[in-house]
Amino acid sequence: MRERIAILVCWLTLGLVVGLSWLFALRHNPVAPPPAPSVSVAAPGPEARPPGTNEAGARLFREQGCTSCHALGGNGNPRYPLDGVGARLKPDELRAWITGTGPAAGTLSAMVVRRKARYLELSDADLAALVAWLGEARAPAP
Amino acid sequence: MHRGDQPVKTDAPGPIASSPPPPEARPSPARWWRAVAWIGLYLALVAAPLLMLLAGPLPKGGGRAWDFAMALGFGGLAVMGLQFVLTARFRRATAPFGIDIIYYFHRYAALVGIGLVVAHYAILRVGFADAVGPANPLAAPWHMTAGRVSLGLFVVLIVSSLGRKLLRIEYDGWRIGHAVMAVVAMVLAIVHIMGVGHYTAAAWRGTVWTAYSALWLMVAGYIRGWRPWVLRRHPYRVTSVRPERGRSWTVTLEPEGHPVLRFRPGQFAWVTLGTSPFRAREHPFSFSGSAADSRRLQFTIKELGDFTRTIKEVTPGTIAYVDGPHGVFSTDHFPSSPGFVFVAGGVGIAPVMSMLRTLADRGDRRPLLLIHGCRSWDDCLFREEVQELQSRLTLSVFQVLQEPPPGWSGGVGVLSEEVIGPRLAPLTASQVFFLCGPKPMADAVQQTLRRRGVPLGRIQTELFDMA
Repeated sequence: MRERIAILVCWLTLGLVVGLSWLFALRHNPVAPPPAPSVSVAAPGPEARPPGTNEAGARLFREQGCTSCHALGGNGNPRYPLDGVGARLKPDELRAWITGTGPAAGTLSAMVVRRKARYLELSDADLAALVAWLGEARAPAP
Repeated sequence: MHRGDQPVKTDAPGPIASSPPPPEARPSPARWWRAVAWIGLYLALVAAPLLMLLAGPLPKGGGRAWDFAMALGFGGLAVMGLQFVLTARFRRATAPFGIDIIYYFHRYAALVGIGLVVAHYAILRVGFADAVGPANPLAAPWHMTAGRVSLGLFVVLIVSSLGRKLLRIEYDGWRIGHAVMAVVAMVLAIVHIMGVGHYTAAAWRGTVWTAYSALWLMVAGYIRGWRPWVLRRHPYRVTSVRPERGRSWTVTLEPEGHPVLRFRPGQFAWVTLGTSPFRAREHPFSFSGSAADSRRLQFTIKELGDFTRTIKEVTPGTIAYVDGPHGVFSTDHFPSSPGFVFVAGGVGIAPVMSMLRTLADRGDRRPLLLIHGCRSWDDCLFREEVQELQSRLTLSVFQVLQEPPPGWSGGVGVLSEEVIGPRLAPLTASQVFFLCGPKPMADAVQQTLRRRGVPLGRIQTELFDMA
């Protein structure tokens, strides 16, 4: 009998975690989001880029791991999407948000500011390319 | 792990004080309520991180699949963290269940935990590959690498545990590796969550999460530090190692400078022989002596594995440590039962001997039946002493041999329904049954009893294989 109870408690545990996780997902996202990005768009492809021709900026966006925290065109971490960011921010604001400096530093958490500090080490040319590329991201989220 | 040890005969001439069962030995509905309460606490602790996520204002969502995956990760880690608590052998918490079943649960809970963590990773890997980033540790952020290594270690932990015998991993080495990998995997998982930071960024959540994580690691510290330290202060010495029938040995221990630990007959302890308790080289063995013996402890151990094969080489004077008592397999829980039936296979008679000796020392005259399955008459462990005990107890004995000698009048074969059914028939209405032996035997006897209408509450089993 004790074995049966043990197995039952395992199922209860699984059910409890899955149930609460789903509740959390619903409460966190009360409106059904657009269809989750599927495997087919998982790899950064041409459609991940905003309209534009700035190849260096696109390459830096990929290589610098921006997608660990941001999504663009449905790719990357959906928590902080950057779609349309070019329409919302001016180039110097974009630069501040990338590097966690100026007005952005007061808004971001200390941990994020620390993490963004490494973008201060980018060369001026690279940073300019990244800012230019994000400035072209004017399309709304897919 | 082999519960290869067994109880021993208290043939020692010492005065066996007739003592009443420990006061807490009551059959109780209260035990059920305690069990329900502890299960409730376990589920509450599993749910705690998720409830913490649900409480209070939430940062912006990342889509249902994303947040579902995140929550599964927290839940999976909570299950894994509680694995430390399950095996910490907190006596009060394990008492309503029996610690053997807690270890059984520990194994299945690990599968639940790894299932949740794998689902967490798989959903993100498939649906959000860019966010998960590169697997190459040189290119990946450190907290993502920590998460991957943690997941890998959890998989290795589970495969090496469930497949230990198949993979021929030696027990002592496995135990140390298990403990080290578990702690490293947990620390890396916590690093992963702290590094991602999104859900723990709010100050109060960060504090609660830190305290919750610290709880797991404190329990790990209790297991590896505090408990061995306490054990070290209560040493025992081996006073004799006596050969028994059936490749078994009875080890007798006497305390050094402290009272002997008191146990209920049928319980067991983790025993360390000849080394420091800090080295985690302990093995679970049933007490085989009388619980009324206030001077010594006895364990009867069969040669079954790497460690138990070395028992015969242990010499008197060897230092020993005893972590116990544990387990709920005891007649003491049923003071109002009209009698008891013991069904033992081979060395499974060890805890039964402890119960028989204790009942004899207490002058208990309730009717008892012992059914003991052995390979041969020569292997029939404790057969002489069982015979002697018949003069002190109202005890019937039915021995079942797989290889009976010529002229054998007892049972023949294994403990199947055909062999033992007729013996059990008059007893199924009221007696409490104690089954101890190899799992196939215990399962078969349990099915026999169930078919004859014995409720599960009157069938007591001891799981033989604990690791």
